[in-house]
Amino acid sequence: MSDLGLTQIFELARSSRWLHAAVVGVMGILLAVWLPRRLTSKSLHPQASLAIKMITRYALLSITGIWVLRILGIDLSVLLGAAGILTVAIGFASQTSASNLISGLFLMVERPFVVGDLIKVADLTGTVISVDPLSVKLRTFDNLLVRIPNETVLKSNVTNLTHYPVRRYDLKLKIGVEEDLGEVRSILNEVAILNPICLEEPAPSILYLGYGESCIEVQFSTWSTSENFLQLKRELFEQVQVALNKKGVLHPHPQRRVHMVEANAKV
Amino acid sequence: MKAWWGSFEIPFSSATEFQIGPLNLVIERHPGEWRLAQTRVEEPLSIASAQRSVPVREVSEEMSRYAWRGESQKIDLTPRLSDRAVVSRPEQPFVIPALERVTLFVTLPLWVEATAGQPGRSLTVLPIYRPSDTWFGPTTKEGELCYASRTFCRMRREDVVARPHRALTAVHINNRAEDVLSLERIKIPAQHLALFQTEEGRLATQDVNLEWTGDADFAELKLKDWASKAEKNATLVAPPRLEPGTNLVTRAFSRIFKSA
Repeated sequence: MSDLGLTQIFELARSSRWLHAAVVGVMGILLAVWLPRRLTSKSLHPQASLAIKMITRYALLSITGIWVLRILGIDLSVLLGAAGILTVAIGFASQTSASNLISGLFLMVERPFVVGDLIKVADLTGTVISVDPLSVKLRTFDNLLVRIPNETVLKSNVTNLTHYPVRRYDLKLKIGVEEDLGEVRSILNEVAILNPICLEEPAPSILYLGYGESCIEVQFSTWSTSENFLQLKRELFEQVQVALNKKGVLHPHPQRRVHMVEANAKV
Repeated sequence: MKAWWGSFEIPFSSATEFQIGPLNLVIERHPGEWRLAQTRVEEPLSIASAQRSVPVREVSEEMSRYAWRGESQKIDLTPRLSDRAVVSRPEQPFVIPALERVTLFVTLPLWVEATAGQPGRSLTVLPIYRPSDTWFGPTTKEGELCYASRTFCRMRREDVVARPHRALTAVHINNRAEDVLSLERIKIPAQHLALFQTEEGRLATQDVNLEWTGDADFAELKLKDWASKAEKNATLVAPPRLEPGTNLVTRAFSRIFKSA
């Protein structure tokens, strides 16, 4: 064996058609596993990296398959003829898949979100766990896996809740019409100052939305980092409730004015 | 000013309470572990400072436990600056004319680091008072998360109230541009500053030099080598949390905040 060089091994393989095909097949498969990993780097975007790996792998496997068939002497022209007819049939059947694939390429280029972002698509909210060639997969807050076809994502309004580093929380509350709005403003601002995850800048703001039934509708807007958003939402609600109760600011109750008239009086 | 930091012996199954400004820290030593409990008073600028033995308490929610198999009963408390920049404001915004310079004095919030063992290994780093988060940048799309200082920048050093749990910093601003610089907020890179004890016993950092050449909100930051400050009768207490790089250009000023 030691006297046999590599050339002799190849000559031996070529002399046997099956052995030749087996060697080519194994080498092709090994190359299809090894080469895609070498073509990508950590600096490349994960979705682009995945696409390159898949395209390279399937291309190498296809070339290996055709080469093996040629070595075994199988007439490919028959296959090509059948492939033509099959292509038309598959083309009609795979319109949706092709659309999803192309939509996936657009999403990869445009990148409205990346893996790890919290997004809202239609009525679905979840964390992006993968952006695949045909679909986007989300994990919802109640730990469900949702698969959304790329075509649907591209056609829908997608809200990326964690794209920017800070986010605003709008707390809507109703204040009785008899309350001192200046005092309410002071109470709310004090709550914001005492909560350390509530950003000092952008400063909290208070907006009067209008009159509701027996009340004034107020919007109290505060900012936090995206990571702290849920914590702020929970804490602020409780802290505002406690602060308003402590100062005796009552929540409005619907009021009705009742007119009492005599039985025979004209109304 | 008496130092609240240093090395303290806490025998097994005993506890010591440290009052450091608004922070009340109780440290207990037990076989196999250290326990730390922290509470805070509402007044962030409290200047209380005390240390006393207290009874050992039951494990509670405010308590953190740290596994420690050594026999050492010594714990070190060291003041540290914040891990992020601190934003401070002058009492009233003011303008620095072209080619003019000004020095502002500001106090920075401090953290307490508890270390044990030889060499010292950090158990935890706690804020004496947790400052509010604040965003420093031209818009909410770009910028940096910082802490907001509760004290104003002062033009005169004598106007700065000495507090044992805050560090004094002198910020020299040099307007080298031909335009005026309107100062509303200033970002101080506290994470790159070292902490010293001055001859008066006060905590201070090295000076910060900001040179504005007219480039929007950015300024060239120059920090004096903190090792050299020790030559001026100042004792190094703690090195910077993050070593500054060279040729730092930082967004140091925010004149108009656009929330769009």
